[in-house]
Amino acid sequence: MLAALSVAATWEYPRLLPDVQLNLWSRVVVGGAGWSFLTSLQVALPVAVISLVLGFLSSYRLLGSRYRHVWLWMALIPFCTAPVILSLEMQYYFIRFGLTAQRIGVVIGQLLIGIPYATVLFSLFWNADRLKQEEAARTLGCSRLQIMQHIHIPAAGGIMKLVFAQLFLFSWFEYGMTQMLGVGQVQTLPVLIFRSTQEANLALAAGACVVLILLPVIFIIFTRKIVFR
Amino acid sequence: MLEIRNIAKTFGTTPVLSNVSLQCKGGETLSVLGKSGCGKTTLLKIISGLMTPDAGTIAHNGNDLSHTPVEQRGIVYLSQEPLLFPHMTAAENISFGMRMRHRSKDEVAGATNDMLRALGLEDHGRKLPQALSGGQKQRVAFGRALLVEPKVLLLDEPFGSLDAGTREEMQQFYLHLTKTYGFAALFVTHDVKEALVTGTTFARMESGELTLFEDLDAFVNDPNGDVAKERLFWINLK
Amino acid sequence: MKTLSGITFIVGIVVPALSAFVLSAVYATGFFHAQETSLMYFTELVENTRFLKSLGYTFLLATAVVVSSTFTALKIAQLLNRRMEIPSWFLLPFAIPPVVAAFFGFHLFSGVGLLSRIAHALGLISTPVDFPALVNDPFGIGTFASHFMLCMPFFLVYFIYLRNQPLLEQLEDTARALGASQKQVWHHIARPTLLHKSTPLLLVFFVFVLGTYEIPLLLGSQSVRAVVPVIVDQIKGYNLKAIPTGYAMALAYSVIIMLVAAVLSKKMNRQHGA
Repeated sequence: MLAALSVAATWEYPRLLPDVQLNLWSRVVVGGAGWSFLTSLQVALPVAVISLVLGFLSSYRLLGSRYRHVWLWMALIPFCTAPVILSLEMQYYFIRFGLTAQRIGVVIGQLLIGIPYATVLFSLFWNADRLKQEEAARTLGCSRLQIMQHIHIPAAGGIMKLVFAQLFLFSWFEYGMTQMLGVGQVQTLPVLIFRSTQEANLALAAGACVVLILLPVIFIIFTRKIVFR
Repeated sequence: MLEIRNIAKTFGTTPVLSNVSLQCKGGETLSVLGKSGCGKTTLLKIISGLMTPDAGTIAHNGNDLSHTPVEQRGIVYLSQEPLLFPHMTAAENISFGMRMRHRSKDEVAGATNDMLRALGLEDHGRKLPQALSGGQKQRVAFGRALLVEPKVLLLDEPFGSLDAGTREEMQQFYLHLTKTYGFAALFVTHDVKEALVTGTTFARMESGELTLFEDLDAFVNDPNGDVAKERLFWINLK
Repeated sequence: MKTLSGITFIVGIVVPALSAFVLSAVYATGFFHAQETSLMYFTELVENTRFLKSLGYTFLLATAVVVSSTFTALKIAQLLNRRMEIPSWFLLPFAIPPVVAAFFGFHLFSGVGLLSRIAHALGLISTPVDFPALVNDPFGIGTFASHFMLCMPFFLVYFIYLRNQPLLEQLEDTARALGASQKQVWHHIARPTLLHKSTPLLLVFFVFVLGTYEIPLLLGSQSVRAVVPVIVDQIKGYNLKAIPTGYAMALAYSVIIMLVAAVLSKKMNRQHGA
């Protein structure tokens, strides 16, 4: 249905199918979906990479901690909060430091959710088995840095791919915070969809929807095995 | 010589260890017989440095180790699970400690091959842990521990997850290792026969208290001990 | 390493979350927008029933979505084979974000949407007005349906995945060996185990629906609205005097999130703790 709407010149009621004009797709791409695709990529890639690294590092704090549930609770709060609310609560700082209406501002904003998100996901990795392995390596004379380098990071390969995919998708799909902190100037694909819906540009909104879900579909097909491991 | 003096540990309001003291010389294995929940794992974790005691001292050859970090103590802890690193081959697991100490590649390769031979695993060096049997995994864990030349080995029911046959085989293998490498060891088990086979000195642990025995006779004839109970069982068997 | 990890955690997570909370509290006292600070904006939350109504509505929506998705997914999982390879197309709904669900929902459920056109083609209605209001309707049917479309496939895949785990299979076999029928095994073993194991996931989805924004923005009820769009409107509206109340609402919402997160952390810790 989305694909059909993306090439819909008109869709008069009560016709079941719209009037299709295939050349509308060039307008969809030129009309913004192409640029928004690139903008989305420029936001989602740094968010996914930085959150992955910092989330892996911060989640290590949970391993063997007596207060693991408290650390987890602190990570769960921003993870569970609606991004748009978090951006409203943090907006003062973003205005103060001149970060609104800029891509970097949106990236920093999304990191405030991305890092806790990665931490929560990695908490599943830092389990009882990992603690035992760490203890075994320590009695064998390893420093914590060596354990991280030689034991934990190689063992985390699978979950890292999964967490990266999740983080990328979070940022790729994010609308509320991007709109709030980007003030409409950082036009990612979800922002474009909303804007063109409000402007009643049916073909552009539907085309942007198709572009938006295309990458995740490919992602899902290729990461299927990792997800179920 | 490993010397433990007056170690105490309480979890919340529950005392787990009270005034535990013991000594263990190089080449000796102190067998500690105790049921699950008696505090033996806590004791081993405290000696290895993985847990801090509320009171007491740990020393080796007169050097106080109480504040030495785990990785610098030279005390290796082996548990019931072999805890092999799953992404490394058997050989890589064995050489792990040496590699972390930045020994030369030739030295590591030579020592690893010697150890694989000593463990009877020369054909299994390239296998990943999941391709090894339970006994083989435990052998690799022993090899990995021995290659770092530990001052003391702490063994927490190391053969607990093996079947009876493999368990007996591993007990003999352990005796062979003690003779070859001459390390000091604390061997914790709940199995009377295993304690008798592996130990050179003996102790019993109950409710966080450790009782040391002067010799084998005293251990065997301890009226409150499991050895006496086991003997009584066999005598009364009709 | 642990220190570095602790510092990263505090700088990357605790400090931003705490500053957001403190700043909201300061805003909510009217510090930036009123002549003097006061706690009246908090009492306004209780006196002006709009916020409580929208909170109640969102709770109801989240409960309805999670409960109906759970039971539908459980029913389908029961009907499917015990051990089945999850086909790739089962995962395709995961690629649908809320913004697309909202857009899709609008063109499916609105008066000029696909369902209305099908109804017209079948001769059930003659004009778009005859089609029952499913978008911007007082009961939020379109909002509910869009959330259901997002949640249910996820739950279904998770239940099938859990059912494929060897432990559950062994438990089911044991129950059968003890004389339980297929139906009894499902009711007494499989279903309770699936529900128990998926509690953290269900809570996560509950809290996500609680924070829903894009879907109610496009499809939501005009009378009672979901809580997040209400807070956003209150803060981003033209009335500067309304801003402190908006932040008081945001603060109340954050407290609810903290409580749910506390329950979630305990559940997750019990299942995966070290």
